[in-house]
Amino acid sequence: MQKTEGEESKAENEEVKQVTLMTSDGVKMKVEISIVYEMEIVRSFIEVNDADHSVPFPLPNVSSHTLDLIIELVKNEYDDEFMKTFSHDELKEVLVAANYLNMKTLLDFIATAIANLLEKKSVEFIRNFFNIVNDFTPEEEAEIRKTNEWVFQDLDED
Amino acid sequence: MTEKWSDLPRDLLSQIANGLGLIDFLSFRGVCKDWNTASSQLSPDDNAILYDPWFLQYGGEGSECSLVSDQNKCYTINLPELDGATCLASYEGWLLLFVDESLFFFSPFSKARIELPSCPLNDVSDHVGAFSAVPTSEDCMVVLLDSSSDTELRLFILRRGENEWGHSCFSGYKFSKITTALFYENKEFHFLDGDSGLVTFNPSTPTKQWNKLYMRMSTDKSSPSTLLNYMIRKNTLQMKHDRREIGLLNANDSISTCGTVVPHFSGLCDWIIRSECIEAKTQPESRRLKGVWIQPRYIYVSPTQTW
Repeated sequence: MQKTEGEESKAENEEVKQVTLMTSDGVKMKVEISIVYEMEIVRSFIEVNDADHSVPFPLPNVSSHTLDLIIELVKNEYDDEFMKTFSHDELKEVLVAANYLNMKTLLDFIATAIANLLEKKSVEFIRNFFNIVNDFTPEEEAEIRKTNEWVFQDLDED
Repeated sequence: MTEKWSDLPRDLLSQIANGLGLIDFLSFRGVCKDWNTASSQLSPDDNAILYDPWFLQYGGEGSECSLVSDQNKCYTINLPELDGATCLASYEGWLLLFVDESLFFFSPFSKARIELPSCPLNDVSDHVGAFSAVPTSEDCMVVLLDSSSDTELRLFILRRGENEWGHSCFSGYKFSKITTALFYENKEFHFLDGDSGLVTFNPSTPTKQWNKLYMRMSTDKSSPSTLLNYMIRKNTLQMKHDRREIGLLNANDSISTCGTVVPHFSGLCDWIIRSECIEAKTQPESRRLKGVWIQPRYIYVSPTQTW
């Protein structure tokens, strides 16, 4: 495969380069620059400041566990099978972190994965699955059901 | 992080909801207040749902309609707006409805409604309609064609924001039966006449707006002709009925349907689902039903939206 000028070859030259990230739980993690470049929030900082990569870049909203998952996902080129091993909380944390780090591809990937989990599921199932409290009043809920009665005729309960 | 699913930022919830099909989206809206609010102004744009339109049958018993999904699942849906109505056109989830000498756009899944001014028709029997873009678009033009005469076509046209309908006539030919209309390549309206006739109307050329053409299947690219970038699907309901995929019709029911245009799944052209008429097989006829092919979209429109 022919490599294009720019990004690809740059990534190759800088293959050994790593950026140190400091997670919310105080763990310093060395991350390949090609992965860091997907994190717009870090990338823009590095590019503007031409920073010393040995000084840890703080990520006060991302835990080391979540960052591990993100790195694995990117390394595995967003592998569906790998993602299926995530717990619901892990999914949610990766979603929130992807949003915070401004990782467009990862954000789309996770949002689609979560949308797929909701497919053909009843409202009750979704509430149980995601541990969401129904905060509608009985009147509000009845109104919503009445408006779209047909939707509730036939959905999987499991 | 200890955020709950119900406390996710609104824009993240919106992004998830935006990837949902119609039924899943409507369920999403019923989960909790936050999810409801996050999705309240969305019109999900999941491309996967666009290729196979659903079928909505109405005109049976009052406002009770039948909705058949692309998976041939049948739902009963109550739509008072369709009681006594006739659908003249269907495009991108919007229906153009005529009822009691008035015309309006209607999105049956969000119940969004946009009234059109001063309907030029008293009744609709041999009429077909089309609109060039969704009714919230600045470019939207609506045409209604009266084809009750086989020698003269009468056309009414209304541009977005206008209050008065313009009109135009076309004669000098013998027309067969026009039941399907569409807007073609952002340029002109096409009216499919019988099996192979095509009448075109270009609203932006002051002279020579009308044209009468013949369509044929051809692999010969050398002849002086224009290649149409759409495929036409005939007898869609009849075939689904014959294959027992849709079981809405009794032998003594007749039905007339309004077609639609969807992208072809190849992505290379449009797919036109022709309007069709199915006569009752046995007499006496019991019900004269109506139906329309519709993209299963939830369309949010601001309550202050007008034509």
